[in-house]
Amino acid sequence: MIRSRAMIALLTGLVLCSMALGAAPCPERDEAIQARINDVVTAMVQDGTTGEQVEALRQAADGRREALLVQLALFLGDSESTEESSVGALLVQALEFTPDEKLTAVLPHLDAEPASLRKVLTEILSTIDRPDGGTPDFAFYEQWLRQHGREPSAALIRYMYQVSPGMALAGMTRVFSGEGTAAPNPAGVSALETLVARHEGLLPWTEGERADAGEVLDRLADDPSWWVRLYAAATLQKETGLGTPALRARLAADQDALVRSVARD
Amino acid sequence: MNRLLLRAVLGSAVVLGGSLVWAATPGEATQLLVTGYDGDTGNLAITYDPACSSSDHNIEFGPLQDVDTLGYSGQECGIGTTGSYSAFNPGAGSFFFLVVGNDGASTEGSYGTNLIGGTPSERSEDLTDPQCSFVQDLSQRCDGPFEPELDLTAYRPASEAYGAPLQRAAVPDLDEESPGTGIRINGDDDNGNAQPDRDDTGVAGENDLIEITVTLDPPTPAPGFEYVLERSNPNLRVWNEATKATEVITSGDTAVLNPPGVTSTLWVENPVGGSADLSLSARPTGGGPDVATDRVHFYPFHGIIVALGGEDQVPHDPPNDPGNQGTFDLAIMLYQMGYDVHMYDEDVVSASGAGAAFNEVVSAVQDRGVTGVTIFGYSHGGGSTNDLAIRLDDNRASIGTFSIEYTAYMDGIDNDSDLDIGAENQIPASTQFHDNYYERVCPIVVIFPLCGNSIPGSDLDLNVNTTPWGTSLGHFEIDDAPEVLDGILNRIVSLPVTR
Repeated sequence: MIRSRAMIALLTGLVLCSMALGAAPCPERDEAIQARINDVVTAMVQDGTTGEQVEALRQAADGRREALLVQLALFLGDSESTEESSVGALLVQALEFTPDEKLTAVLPHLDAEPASLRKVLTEILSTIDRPDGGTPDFAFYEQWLRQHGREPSAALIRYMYQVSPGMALAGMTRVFSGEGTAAPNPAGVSALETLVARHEGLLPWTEGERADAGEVLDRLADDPSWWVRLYAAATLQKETGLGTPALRARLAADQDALVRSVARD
Repeated sequence: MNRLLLRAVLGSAVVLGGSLVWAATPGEATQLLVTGYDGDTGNLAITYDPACSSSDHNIEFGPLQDVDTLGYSGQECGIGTTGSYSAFNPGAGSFFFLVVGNDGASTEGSYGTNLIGGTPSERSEDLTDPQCSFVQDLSQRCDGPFEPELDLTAYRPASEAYGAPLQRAAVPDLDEESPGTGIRINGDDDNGNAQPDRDDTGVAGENDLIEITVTLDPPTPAPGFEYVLERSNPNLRVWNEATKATEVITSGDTAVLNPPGVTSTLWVENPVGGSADLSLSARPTGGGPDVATDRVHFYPFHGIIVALGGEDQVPHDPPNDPGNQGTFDLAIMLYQMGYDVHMYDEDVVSASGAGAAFNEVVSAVQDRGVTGVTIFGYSHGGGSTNDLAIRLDDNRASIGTFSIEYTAYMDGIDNDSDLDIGAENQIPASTQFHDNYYERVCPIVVIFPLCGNSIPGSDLDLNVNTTPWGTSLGHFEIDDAPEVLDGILNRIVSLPVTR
């Protein structure tokens, strides 16, 4: 039963991946590893034991731990039951991937379709920046960005701004402004963050608050630093009721490709 | 000839304004009298009181010697509805005759009542119909005893959309008056026009009205009667549409109904709270004792229930994986019992507690008079139960007055991410009552287990493996165990502000 479901999911995933080519490389399935993962899940659900199967999985991966993590992500992306997703999550935890392994595995595919795979990949990243929930800590990513630069890490930057525009802005400023930890956030950002937090799923915005927020965003959208303009674009993406069409259009035509892409999402 | 009592019944469909309408069938023609005889022509002149609901009349006649067996031999067709006819001439001889109403098309009514043997019985009809063919139908005679079949059926509320994920469900007849039908106080703003829906009409996206179906059989009452819809007080408003376009009870508490067919659909709103009854009755025109009635009681929801499934469990009614998604089985049962239930994929609750479930509860408290919140969940749904409770409690001052009446975990797993496998170990913030069902025969990969754990301080902290019924229950079975589901159900039913 589990096996047949997994096989159907494999086929479905293949179709979805092939339909969505273009944004980011779609990870290829390693059918041998997928079969091993399925063996673990089946053994766990049916017998509650996995020792030999886990070891077989390790061997099938042959030391390519990042590749194994990608295969686990593909498996989880096609999961259709608590049994599959829970045991898959157990495997990810039990194999104790390091943050470096996780980011190396995930980053090339972070913008890949389908959405179910992208969700799994971002969940893997969340175990780096929020291992115990709560407020994200982007310190590891900042270190990565210092080492690798912006261009190969655009998907990571987009992810950071999706998780927390304010924390991402602070991190980018530290990494790219040259001011390090002394870099302050632009004026108005703290007040805007407070406003956004206050209204998350609660009180509706007043016209005055909308106007204040719009004024801050309008100013940030003209900032010479791309990471500040990206903050404006990411905030508008999350708070669809803020900003004017003109402001959105301006950001959608921004000189920076990353800002443009977020503003157009 | 004798005065004949003619009772006729019509059962014909007519089209009025494009709608198919069932009319009552003709009554009987009465007061039949011979008022003249033309010696030159042999024509008889007669008068009679036309049958109710008739469009025409025929004369049925036969040889007088056959009157005891009603041996009809001829007909005079289409004598009209004026109540008089002066050209009846059955020919030479002695005849009996009577007048029968018809619908002008194909159906005729009663031939009247005889008293053969002292027992009233309907005269037999003319089956030969030598001149004009009609079929007798006495099932809905307009002058018969009026005993319509009335039914008022209420349905459970929309959640989240109407029919999905919870199916449209009728309130059982036995529950219509007690406990009745739950209804949301309509103070939210479904069309986002900054005006409470209670003060609004033409509300796009309105989802707080209760559907009722009104069945009137026959759809047109007998002459002298009317159908009325009556509310016991203005706590209820009745509309023709779910979006509140046309109100049905526009003055006072009663509206006379003129439905387009046997069954029609109306929508009930509770604008400001309070209970009320809605009655459907047949009564004499203008008022008088009901000859038939049906009643539904409406109570406003003061509680809301959030059910959160495990990872990859998608809310559906019936559950997508029957027998393997007990959280949703329980949610569906509670919904059908009359609770305001919202079942979700646990992913709608982010690790911060924000999301659709949070928004629903906030709206319920701020706009719909809800004061009691119940949350339960399985696996990651248990972790999300805690996340949601924390956010609700943290934002209590902004949300309004409410209490988290009850929470329950079924092998709760912390849900900081989809990959989180740690046991949930917190009692949900500010909950008044918490049940923690967990197991410890869980799957283990290397050294990592997937199971809930004891949470001291829970009102019920039960390792199901220690019970006779749950010895072997693991993580993937605990949420389907009847004992666990019954335990949560019974707790919810016993607590005051869960409904």
